[in-house]
Formats: sequence, C-alpha cells, structure tokens
Amino acid sequence: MIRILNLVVVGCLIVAAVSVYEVKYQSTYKAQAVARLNGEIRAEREKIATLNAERSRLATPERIQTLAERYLSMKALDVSRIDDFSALPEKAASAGDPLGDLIESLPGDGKKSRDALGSMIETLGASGPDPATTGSAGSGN
Amino acid sequence: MRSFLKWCGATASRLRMTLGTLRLADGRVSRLRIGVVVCGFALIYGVIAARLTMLGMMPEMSDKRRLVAADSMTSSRPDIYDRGGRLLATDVESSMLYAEPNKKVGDVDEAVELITAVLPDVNATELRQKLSSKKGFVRIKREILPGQQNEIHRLGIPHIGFMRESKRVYPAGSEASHVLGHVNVDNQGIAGLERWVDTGGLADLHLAGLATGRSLEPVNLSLDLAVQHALRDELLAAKERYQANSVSGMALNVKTGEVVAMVSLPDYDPNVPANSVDPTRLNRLTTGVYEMGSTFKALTVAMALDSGKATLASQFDVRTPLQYGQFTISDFHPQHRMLTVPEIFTYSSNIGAAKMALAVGTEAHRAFLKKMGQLDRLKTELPESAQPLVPKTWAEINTATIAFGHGLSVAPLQAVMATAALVNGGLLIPPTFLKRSEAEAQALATRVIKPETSEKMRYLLRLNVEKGTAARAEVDGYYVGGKTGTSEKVVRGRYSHDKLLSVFMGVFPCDVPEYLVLVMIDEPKNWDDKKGQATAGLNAAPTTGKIIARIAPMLGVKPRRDLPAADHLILASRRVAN
Repeated sequence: MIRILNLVVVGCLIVAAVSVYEVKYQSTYKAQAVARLNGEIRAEREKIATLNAERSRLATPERIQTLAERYLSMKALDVSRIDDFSALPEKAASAGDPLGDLIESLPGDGKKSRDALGSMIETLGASGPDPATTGSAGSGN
Repeated sequence: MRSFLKWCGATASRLRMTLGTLRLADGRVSRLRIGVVVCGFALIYGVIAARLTMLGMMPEMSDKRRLVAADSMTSSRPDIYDRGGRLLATDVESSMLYAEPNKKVGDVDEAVELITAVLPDVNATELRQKLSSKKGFVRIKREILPGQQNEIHRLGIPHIGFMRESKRVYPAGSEASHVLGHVNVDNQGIAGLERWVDTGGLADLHLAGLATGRSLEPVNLSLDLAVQHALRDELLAAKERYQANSVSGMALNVKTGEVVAMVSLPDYDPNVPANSVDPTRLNRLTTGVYEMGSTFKALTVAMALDSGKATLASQFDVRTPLQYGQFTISDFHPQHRMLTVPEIFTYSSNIGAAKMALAVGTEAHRAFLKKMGQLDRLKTELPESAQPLVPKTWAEINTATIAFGHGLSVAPLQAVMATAALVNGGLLIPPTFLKRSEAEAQALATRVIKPETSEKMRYLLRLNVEKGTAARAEVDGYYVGGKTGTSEKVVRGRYSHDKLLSVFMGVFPCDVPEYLVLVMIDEPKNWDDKKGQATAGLNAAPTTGKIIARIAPMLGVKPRRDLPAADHLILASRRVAN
C-alpha cells in the first residue's frame, strides 16, 4: 500500500518537476520574445517618426511651391475664379435621344418587349443606327 | 530558516531522549516516533508552503534587468502639429557614443586608436584626454551612423556605450520659427512654444527621467502651415520690393483669438538655432514694441463713439494744428475744414483724432487703453513678450499724441488683439497659439465696447478701403476693411522723417469679420513711385491685399460679390444679425 503510494508520489513529483521546468522555460522564452518584440516595436516607431519627419519635410508648402514654379505652368489662384454653384447658369436642355425615347415608350417588359424593340429597330431602316450598335443596345437592355 | 531547522532538530532529539527514558512498549514507541516525524515534516513543509504562498502573493520584485547603456534614451518631447495635423516639430532618434572613464576603459591608447579608426572625425588628443580623465561620463560623439555603431560594438572596448538621443527636428524649417521656437542641445525648449511646452510640467518629467518614450500628448497649434507659408512668401516678396529692414505680419481669427499665421522677417531655421541669437531676427510682433501710428486711431474713434462723446455725424475742427509747447500736431493730408468722424478716419487726421481723444478726457482715455490691454504686458503661450512703453505721467499732450498712435509703444500682437475686439462685436479675446473653439473663446472674452460701436467701426474700416488711404488693400469679393498707419521712427531721441514704420491692419470680410491681417514694414524705401512717399497706403496696404487674396480661400472664406457699399454696411450687418 505504502509502496504504491510512494510510487504515485514519486511519479507526481517527476511530473511536477518536469512541468515546472517546462513552465519556467516557456516563460523565459516568452519574456525574451516580448522583449524582442518590444524592441522591434520601438525601432519601428522610431522609423515611423523619422519617415514622418521626412515626409513632412518633403510636403512643406515652401518646397512644393519651388517645385511647382520650376516644373508646372500653373498660376496662383485668382479669387475671381471662385464662385458658388448657384451662380452657374442653368444646364441647357438635352438635345433628345430618339432611340432612348423609343425604349421608354415601349409597353411592358421581358423578352417579348425586347423582340418588339428589335422589330421596331428593323423598321427604322436605313435612317436608323448601324446594326452593330443596335445589337449591343438591344442586348444591353 | 536555518535557525528554525536547528530548533526543529534540537526539539526532535530532546523528544527522542524523553521517549527513550520513558521506556514504553516497543510498538507504541515506534508509532509515536513515526507520528513525531510526520508532524515534524508536516510542520516543515507547512512553513515552506506558507513561505511560497507569501512569495507568490508579494508584488513582483523589481529585479528586472537594469537598463543597460545601449537602451537608455535622453528626454523626449511631444510632437507639435499645426491646426490641419501637419507635423511641425518631432523627435528623431540618433545615437551618441559615450564612455565612463572612471570605470577604467582599459588601455586608453588602444581604445583611442580603435575608436579613431572607426570615427575618423574624432580628434585623437581630445579623446585621449577625455578617456584619461576621472569623470563618470564623457560624450565622445553625437549622431553615430548605424554602421559605425556596429563596428564600435565589435571593438569590444569596455565601458563605452551608446545612448539613444532624441534630436528635435522641424520639418518645415524656417516657416514657423518664431512661433515654434527651438531647443538646446539637451532637448530642452529655450524659446517659443517649445519653451512653453517645458513650463507645462515637462521639465519636471524630464528631471524625473519619465519623459523618455513617445507617450507624450501632441500639441496642436492654431497655426495653419499653408497660411503661414503664404504669408511668409508674400512678406519675403514685400521685403525685397520695398528694401525694408524687416517685415512682419500675422493673421488672427477675430472670433476665437487664434493666431493662424505669424511671421517676422528676417527669421531663422530652428534646426540651426545658433542664428536665433542675432538681435535682428527677433520676433518683432511679440518682443518688439512700436508706436503703431494711425492704426491706433481706430481705438480712439471707437472710444469716442462708445463713450457717446461723438457720433458718426459729429464734426471736429481740424483747420489749425494743435500746439503743445514746441510740439505741433499737424495732418499729413491737411483738409483745412471741419471734418466728420468718418472723414477724420479716412483722411487719417491727426488733429481730428487728438481732438476726439481730448473730448473724451485724459483719464477716460487712459482707462480705455488699459481696458483694451494696451498698457500691460500681454501674456500668451510665447514666453517672449515685451512690456509696453507707457508715459510715466499722462498729461493732455500724451492723450493728444497717443490718440494717433505716438507716445505709446505696444507690441504689435497687442494692438492686433485690440483691433480684433473693435470689429468682432466688442469682445476682447486674449490671443492664443493653440487650437481653441469659439465657445472657449467666448468664455475668456471680456466685453470692451458695445456691439453697435463695433458695427460702426466695421463701417469706418470698410469706408477707409473704399474711399480712404487703404484703397490698395481691396480684394474683390472679400470686402476688406482696414486702417493704415505710418509712423516716424525715433532715431537718437528724435522723430526721423525718412525712417518710417508702415503698418496696416486689414479685416475681412468687413460686414461679418472673420480674420484680421497685420502687416508691418520697417523702414520701407521708396520704390517705383518717385514722389518720395513710403506711406503705409502704398506698401503695407497692397501687401495686405495680396496676402488676403491668397489666404482667404485657404481659410475657407468664400468670396461674395453681392456686397453693398460701405454706406449700407450698417444696414447689411443688422440684416445678418437678424
């Protein structure tokens, strides 16, 4: 009885020792990984800061203006060119679209109406658009 | 623990001796012995378990690896952004090589030889002296390249190391130098907003060694880099055109007191702060005090209108110059007749302004200027500020001359604050360089003149652009209003006739003002017009016009072309208010 108990206890002891070692090893490993990652994060942050500074330097209005004056034929904004949409004249009425109007006026929908459209286009004859266009228009609709 | 074990052993042996002397039956003795041993072990393990629990419960001991030299970093500073989130100042990391000579660097000659082989620009004799000294810390070289750092690491010299330093960089260079200020070699702010950042507790954090990461809250300025650049660009052009000693200017949001741009030329590059000590490169808008000339008449007229001692229809006699002892007050554009208040303003009559101030009275004049913040040092975030030069005794002549801007020298920023109060509805708002909302500004504001007076001032300023001395400041669609000021500079105690200070205060749009632009040209020389005039209407006013045309679209102010002539302005602004 006592012998079995002893064996069990010794077994538990070994298991516990191994698991404790494992946990300790793992935690050390993880701590190293954390330290390494922290270092990497810090290094990346520093790089980001440097790049940000560099980007800001490249994007300063002073530099952009110098470059623009040298390479672009742009003029300074004239205030008289700024205006409201409300000040724009009304949009001219569209010249009309005979084919579109025709489709709008068609009754119903579905395959049948498309056939009807086809037949109507055919009746347009020589005055209508060329066949390739009507074909694509027909399939598109 | 050891003493406890000893004690346990001693107790157990004593127990055994006692048991031995009792000579009990064999079986009982052995059972008792086993029991004692079990108890003893239980006790020992119990103590161990308790101790382990205690250790487990205790907070983690600070036996973390001490920061080794290569990981330490000098103090860092918060990033500074403009109002649009553009970076104006940031920290960039660089490495610095140092040594700890008191810890014995080893063979000094060998170390010097090795280091100078990697870093050829290090002076060998100096380095030898440094390494032979008994100091705890000597700096060998700043800004080490990563390649060089690796090489020095491989040399394996003991007690030398690298320290990461934050180096302050200003990507926009000279653009906002006077507002930003700069730092010293230890990354401490010594001028401008950098100094202000330090006074906000950062210096204490630095001392405590806490401010080392990138955890500091960024600072958001009221400055707009695009506007700042446009202003600086135009002022550089003006400086060139008028061959001026110095040119400075600023733009202020009259509703919030935010300074959106501030330039004083010549300026310096905060990345190379050595140039900042040159006295000609001071920020004239805050550290200089000037007699603001006729722009001060706006204050005089507002005071007279607000006190009720004058209305827009009041007339003042400007036919004869005022005589005070040997001092004569005369007009630059003499009219030789009675002038109404708007005429005094648009002809910029010194006599008229003096008479208006005298009508209000010396004491009231002084009290009004005090209320407008013209007699005390103006405190903003910028540490550099000048005390106004106020006359010691305030007699009638002082009131007469100060009425048209002579005899009282103030910092231009101060005058801008007061002029903004004249047009924004009568609220004196302390100017700021940090982002501020209109509600926050309202909380800080003090009412200095009635809203009706402010309305009349807007009318007068607009009228001055339509019919007066400020005609060249007009920008189509922006309804600019403004006041010119040309003052003679004091040279060796006397007013000089050819050394002038031209000032222009422009407000736009004048019916519902949003921004105020100040341009100040110090000693403009005559230019294309050969009449020998260098008055503000001919240099500062057109410069302001150019600036407004450029910055107004950036500031989101839309041009409007349906605006009434000044005479209808009072009616128009009532309509807007309703």
